[in-house]
Amino acid sequence: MKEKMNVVVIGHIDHGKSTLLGRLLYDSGTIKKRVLEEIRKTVEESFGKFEYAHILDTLQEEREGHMTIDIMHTWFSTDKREYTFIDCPGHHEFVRNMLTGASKAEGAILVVSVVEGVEDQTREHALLAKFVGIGQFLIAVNKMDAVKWKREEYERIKKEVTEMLEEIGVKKFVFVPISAIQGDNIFKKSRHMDWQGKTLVEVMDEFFEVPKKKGNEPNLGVVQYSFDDKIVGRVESGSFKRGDELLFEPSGLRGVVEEMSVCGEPCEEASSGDVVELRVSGMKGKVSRGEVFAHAYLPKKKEEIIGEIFTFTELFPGKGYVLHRGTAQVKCRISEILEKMDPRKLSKTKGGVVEKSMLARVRISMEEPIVIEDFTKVPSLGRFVITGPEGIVCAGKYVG
Amino acid sequence: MNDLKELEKKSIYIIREAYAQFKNVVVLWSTGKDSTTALALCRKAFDGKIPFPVVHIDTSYKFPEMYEFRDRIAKEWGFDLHVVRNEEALRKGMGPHKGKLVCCNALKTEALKQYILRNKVDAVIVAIRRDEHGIRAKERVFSPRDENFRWAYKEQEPEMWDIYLSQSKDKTHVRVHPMLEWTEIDVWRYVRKENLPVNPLYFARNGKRYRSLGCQPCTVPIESNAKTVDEIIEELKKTDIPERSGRAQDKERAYMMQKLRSLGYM
Ligand SMILES: Nc1nc2c(ncn2[C@@H]2O[C@H](COP(=O)(O)OP(=O)(O)OP(=O)(O)O)[C@@H](O)[C@H]2O)c(=O)[nH]1
Repeated sequence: MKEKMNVVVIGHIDHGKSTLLGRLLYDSGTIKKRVLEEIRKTVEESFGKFEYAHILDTLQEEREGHMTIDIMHTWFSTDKREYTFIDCPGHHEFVRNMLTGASKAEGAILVVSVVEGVEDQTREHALLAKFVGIGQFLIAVNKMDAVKWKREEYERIKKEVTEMLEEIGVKKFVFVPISAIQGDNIFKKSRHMDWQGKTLVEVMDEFFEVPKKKGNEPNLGVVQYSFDDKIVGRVESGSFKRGDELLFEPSGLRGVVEEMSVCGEPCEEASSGDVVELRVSGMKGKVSRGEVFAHAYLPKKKEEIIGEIFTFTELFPGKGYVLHRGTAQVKCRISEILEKMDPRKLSKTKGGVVEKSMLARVRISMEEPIVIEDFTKVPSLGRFVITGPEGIVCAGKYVG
Repeated sequence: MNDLKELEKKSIYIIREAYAQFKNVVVLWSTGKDSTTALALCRKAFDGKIPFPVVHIDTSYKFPEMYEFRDRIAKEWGFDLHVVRNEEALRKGMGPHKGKLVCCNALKTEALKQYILRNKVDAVIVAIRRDEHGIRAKERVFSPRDENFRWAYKEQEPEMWDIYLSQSKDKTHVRVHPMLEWTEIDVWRYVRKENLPVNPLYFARNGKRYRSLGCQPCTVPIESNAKTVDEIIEELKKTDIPERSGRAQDKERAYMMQKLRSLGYM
């Protein structure tokens, strides 16, 4: 079985994300001829002209308005891997969709037009991709045709982007000059840039790494629900065996695993990612949804945390919200804004509320304790979203 | 090709999330391969016994084989089957001759709408996959619908990591999509691995088979000699034909699927 990887494609509006993916699917023969013909016909029937971006932009509004609105998933394989690409909208209004896409990815392709260079959403997308946990960036310097394939122009943008990435703290990145519209250096090597040896696809295979389990992880799982002596949930890190003594937090209940099964099949051991049913003996109370179970590890139980957040709507200190960490929910308030930053300009700002589309470090006070782990150690137990009566307010991660 | 074990785990997690978060869950079952797989996943998630109703939307235009298959499996698997029809529209003579969009909307979407309102359903598990259609590729796992059943595809809520939120202000129900990441081949590989029952219409007879099942007047078979699940898998590895090419809703008119789905179609 080939390695699998999700890659998100990000960057400022009109820098060529959808065109790049469309071209890749076209040149590699991944898109079936009949599908292509159907798209062409649909576009022409409504008096448009076919573009490679239409393979990705499937909504009528996207094609007619010449911009991506919501994320699109598409598939591509090499000899080494099967990639799922998540194409994102570049328009600032749709950053929430970009974030939804980026939160499922392990690597990012950041598209930067050589003509325009770094713009607002170039910075914002790079920063937010890093925020959701992506540590590797392939920068596609696009529209090389528009600068007559000049190496100086490419080097100029490379320098500009490098400075930006270093400023936001990205350590692992690589560059490839391309022309999405003409297909240069995407699937096929460019005839125009003999100074660049590799295509985007080759670099993707070499440069990206699929994150591996670190080993030596704490044994932790979450509860989805429970009834009688049966507990249903998922192992989030490490592993559990029959006979293990479990500690449930925040309730503090303890019990021993008598029987376990994964996906309905009885087994002796379950590890990270397994959906489990546990029959636990010796419990002196009922376990609730959202509790964390641990073995040979003491989960971090907190009533107050510092979180790094990104806001989808305005966030008001003092107002009542609900924090959702995996399956757990707890009432909370923002007790202090420590720092905030406009991700489009990378500039720090001040003020009494966190406006929409801002990154911030805030102190969050919970009404009851909740288990939360370091985002870098156990990602799924270190990230959360906060909702208000109107819906989702921000996404965040535990930093201390 | 996906790792079936991984897909199964993720899907079961999502199905259990729906069960834990909502009061009145149902799962839709067309008797086709995808929704039969969804039922198999629900059975695994709950020790063989699906703890909520299985809803079959009956347009009355389905193939006779689908009705036979439905009743046989319902009995074998022993779940609570609810057959739902828009009787009023049928009485007034609704059918594909009135226009495909109108018909799909009345006999499927409207029928489901009536059922949901009547039974106060707050979550509907639907076995759609991203690789089926460009519009479905834009879906979220938990996808809310408003009181008019509309899918606000231009302003979908963010869905971060694998945190699935049930709360949605003035929304009437949430569509739960546990199989978005599956592909057509994955489904058939799973059918083979789990030895799931298959509607006979999927197997070739006289050089033709159905690749996707809908209503009889609006579904045409493809050329094929695949008579077994193995042969179907081999065929799919080579084919150049999109899965739903035999379904009229997708082709008839530009953006028909988008229009249907924005109104609440699956
Ligand atoms: N000259 C030139 N134009 C390009 C190239 N790639 C894309 N374009 C043009 O740039 C415009 C935007 O391309 P898209 O692919 O739609 O851009 P996008 O980044 O996906 O835009 P959003 O998804 O809306 O953010 C289109 O008019 C393309 O034709 C290229 O390599 N060279």
